[in-house]
Amino acid sequence: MTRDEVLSIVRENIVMVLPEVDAALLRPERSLSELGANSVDRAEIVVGAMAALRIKVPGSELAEAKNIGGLVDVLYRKLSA
Amino acid sequence: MKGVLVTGMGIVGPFGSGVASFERALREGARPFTVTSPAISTRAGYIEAPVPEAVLQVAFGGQGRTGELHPRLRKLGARAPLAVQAALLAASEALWPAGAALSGERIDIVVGGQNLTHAFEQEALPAFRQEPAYVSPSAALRILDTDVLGCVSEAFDIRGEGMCVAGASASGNVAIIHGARLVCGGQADACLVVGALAELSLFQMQTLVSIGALGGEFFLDAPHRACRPFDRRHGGFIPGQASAALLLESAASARARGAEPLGCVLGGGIVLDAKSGSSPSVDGEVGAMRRALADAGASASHVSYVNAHGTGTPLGDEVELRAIAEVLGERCAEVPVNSTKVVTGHCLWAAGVVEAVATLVQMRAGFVHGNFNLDDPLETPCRLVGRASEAADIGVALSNSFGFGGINTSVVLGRASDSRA
Repeated sequence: MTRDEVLSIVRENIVMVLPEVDAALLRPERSLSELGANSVDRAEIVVGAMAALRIKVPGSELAEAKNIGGLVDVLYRKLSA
Repeated sequence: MKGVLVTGMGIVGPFGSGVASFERALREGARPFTVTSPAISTRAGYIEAPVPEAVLQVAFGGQGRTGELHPRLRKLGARAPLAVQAALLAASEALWPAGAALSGERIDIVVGGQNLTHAFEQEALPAFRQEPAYVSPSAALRILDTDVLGCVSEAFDIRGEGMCVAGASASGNVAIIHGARLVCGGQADACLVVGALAELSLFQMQTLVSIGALGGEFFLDAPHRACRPFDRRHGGFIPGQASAALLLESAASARARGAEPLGCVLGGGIVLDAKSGSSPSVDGEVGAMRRALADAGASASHVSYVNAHGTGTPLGDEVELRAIAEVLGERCAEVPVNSTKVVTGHCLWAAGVVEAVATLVQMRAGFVHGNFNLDDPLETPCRLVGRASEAADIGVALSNSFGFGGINTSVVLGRASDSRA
């Protein structure tokens, strides 16, 4: 799976949790909080993406992710490991 | 209680969405019951009155699709359990047409209902057993009854006092009584009372079969005839899914907003049997009705209609008719009695609010709905409405709800002009 495919899975999960979000804002440098996600929404998006990718990433590694791009990096790294 | 006005009503149930569709169902005797045959049961099938899926699809859309609701409600409800979705729809009907919108610190919320999340947990458990890491994080909130409270408060920006109250099948009446007290006490200008939809899990259904409370066994081929309050062939209650909302408000607030009063809550009574089981008691039910009338400053001579608890369980129906006869005395031959459950099924936690809406709808439209499955009535001095709806002039009404654990409740409802608020 490519990094772009991981990004699109993350995007799908963002839209599922935040149906009103403006698709133009779903860029790597944006944080989930900026898009209006609260802490439960953020957890929901991350777990949804992990389930779709069939991977498990510990919370300590997820904490590194500061924005959508960072989240994709963490997920992609685990997927490739 | 000095009484409070009802300035908004909303409902969603097996008959669809909205008070107008509920009125039609009551008038015409709609009985939207269906049969499901779950693999796990000692029964060949269950009869229920579910909320049609299309009603919620139109409102909230499927995943990724959009409905026609306010975006804030859509976001809160899009992936929420049925109880939350139905509460949002009922509350929006109760709150938004009533004059200038109410929000902020001067409006409270009381949600009536308990153990709302069994069906949600039942659905989530297989995936959890397979891979705990992928359990939906929002389930931490979803498995709390107060999720309904939180979602309704966010949807309508309500920042006053808020709580869930429980009283088993009497939860709805308990909520109305507490909501009315909050407004009477002056803590709030208004209180949104929500009866939470009961979506039963298979486990809950089986327990109800096992204690002999669930009916319908002999009507699998004619589900609309299964719910038979006060009929000799009643064999237990039939569950129904509905959520209803009442906006209770002080006269001053309603006047200031230009909100039209639809009726009023004059009083209420809650009486315990000091018995933890499921057996009804004449004394407890009489006590609740008398306490409610005393709270309203009324007597049996004022009562012109009784919306019975009437679930269709043999002992429950018989005990309630004896209790009503005792309270009404010689007037029981003239006061019409019906049970809305013949149309809605037993909506459990929501029943009290559903039936308060039914009472006010009939009061305003001038009819009493039929006991549509009353083919062979129990012997009683009470005047049970027959199988057809009929014209009626309802002034002061009693609406009963009784719950497991010896919880007896009754509320007194009246026309807006009866209010002493």
